[in-house]
Amino acid sequence: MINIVELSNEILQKRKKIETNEKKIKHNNNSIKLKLKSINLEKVLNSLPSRGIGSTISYNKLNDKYDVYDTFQFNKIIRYVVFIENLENEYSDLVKKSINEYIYNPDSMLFGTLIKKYNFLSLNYQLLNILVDEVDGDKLMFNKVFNELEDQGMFLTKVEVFNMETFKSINDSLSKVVDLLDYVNDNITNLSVDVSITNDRLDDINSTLWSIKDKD
Amino acid sequence: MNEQLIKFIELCLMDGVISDKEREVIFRKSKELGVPEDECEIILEGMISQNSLSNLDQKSIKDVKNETKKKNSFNRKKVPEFKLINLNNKQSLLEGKKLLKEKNDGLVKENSKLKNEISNNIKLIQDNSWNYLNSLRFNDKVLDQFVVSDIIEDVDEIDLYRDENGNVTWGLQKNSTQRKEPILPHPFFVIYNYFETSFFKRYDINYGIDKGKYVEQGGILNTPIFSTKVDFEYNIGDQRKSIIPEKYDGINPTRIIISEKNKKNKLVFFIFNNDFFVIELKYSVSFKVSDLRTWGDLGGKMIGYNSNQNNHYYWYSITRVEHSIHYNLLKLLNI
Repeated sequence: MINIVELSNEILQKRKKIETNEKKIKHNNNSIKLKLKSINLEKVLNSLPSRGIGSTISYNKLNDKYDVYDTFQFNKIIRYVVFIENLENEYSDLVKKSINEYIYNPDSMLFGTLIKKYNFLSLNYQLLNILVDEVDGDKLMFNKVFNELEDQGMFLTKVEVFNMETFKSINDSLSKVVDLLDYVNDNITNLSVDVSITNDRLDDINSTLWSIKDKD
Repeated sequence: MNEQLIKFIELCLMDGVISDKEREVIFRKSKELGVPEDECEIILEGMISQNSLSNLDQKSIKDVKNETKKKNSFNRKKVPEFKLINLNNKQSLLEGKKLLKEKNDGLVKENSKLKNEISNNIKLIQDNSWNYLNSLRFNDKVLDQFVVSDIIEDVDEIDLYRDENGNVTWGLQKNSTQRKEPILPHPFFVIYNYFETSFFKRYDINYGIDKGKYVEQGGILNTPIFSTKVDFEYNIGDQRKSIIPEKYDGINPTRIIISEKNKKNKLVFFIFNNDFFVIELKYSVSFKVSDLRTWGDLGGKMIGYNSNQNNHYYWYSITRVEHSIHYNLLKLLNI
């Protein structure tokens, strides 16, 4: 006669095996999803510059135009250049970390931070570019940007910044600057708003600011 | 204008100045070429001043260039080459993904095979359950966890058995004063005397007894007050009701097997000619204390309480026996 208990034990073992297999399948599906994410991330990362070079270009331009600025303004703009240099360093660090992590940890928050940093840096390049190009051109535009940056505390010394904790909302504040400028195109206004939208456009972001060649 | 004379003056102006000797020769040459002296004078002065201006321009441009060069070379930074991030792991990631997909396909296939086998095993169990139950003997293990404690095979015997066990004869003995584990109702009592209306249900609110519970026995500390028989004579009220499924009403089983896993968990198999069902019983028991004063006069009298006695009444509450009916063995085998 058939041993019912043995059969039922067999069934239970088979069910356990099925359960284990289903867990493996779930795990593998999850790994597949992560790999697809890594592939997408690689595409996004490959569309980003490996480092920011805008401050160096502006540095040379500012030296060339030194005589055009009044000393007071020039010193403040240099402070802004230093701020952008720091942003560039942070961006480079994030790039390195992202390169190390995108395969093993594609769900990391790091990549969102990188994109945000990229956008913020681009925005600041745009503004610095106005400060460099328009000092002997569109004076009104130059002064609008200069005043707004000054109002946002961008030219404060480190000690002043520390005391006032002003930089917390600089990203948002800078977006207000952008609103003032007809000069600045639609790309910039959208930059710090929605990272996901930006991701879609990353293929096209060979921004002139990032790829700018030193004209001299 | 005399071209020969002009070329000659240009030659003399190569070094940027006209010496007195050169001036003398130029005038002599003009005479030879037939150019009037005053005309030669105008040409010469014109060319001298033009040459001076030209020299001045050259000098200025050179100076400006030098200055600019000096200025631009000061602190000039080399602009690093613009480079995009360059990652190239797409292919290996795609291969990894493919490998995982293949593994998953294999696992899905294996699971499908296992499910088929399980389905066949279940069918085998179902097809053989009736034979299995009929083969059980006293003290045999049932479904690996229960042990056969009683078997009734004769229909007449079943009636007898039911009459014998369908009454309450359990509980603490009369005059007992000790707290003891209760003897639980026999499965037949539960199965054939399952009641919804009873003394305790009718009086539960007045006497503080939970609905739907059997009260077994109690006694005032040190003073036995009533027997269990009295208690359950009230319980077996007007509406006796069995929990045998309706479709088996009036059909006598060919075999009844009582088995137990432990005191509180029992299985009763009702086997018929072609099929069977199982009643699973689960008892829950708790020890309780009541204050007899809450029972009122009627309750007090009923259980023999008098006011001279201790007010505390100890009793067991046997939670209404949970039962479930199975028409195959699968659930009992945890399948």
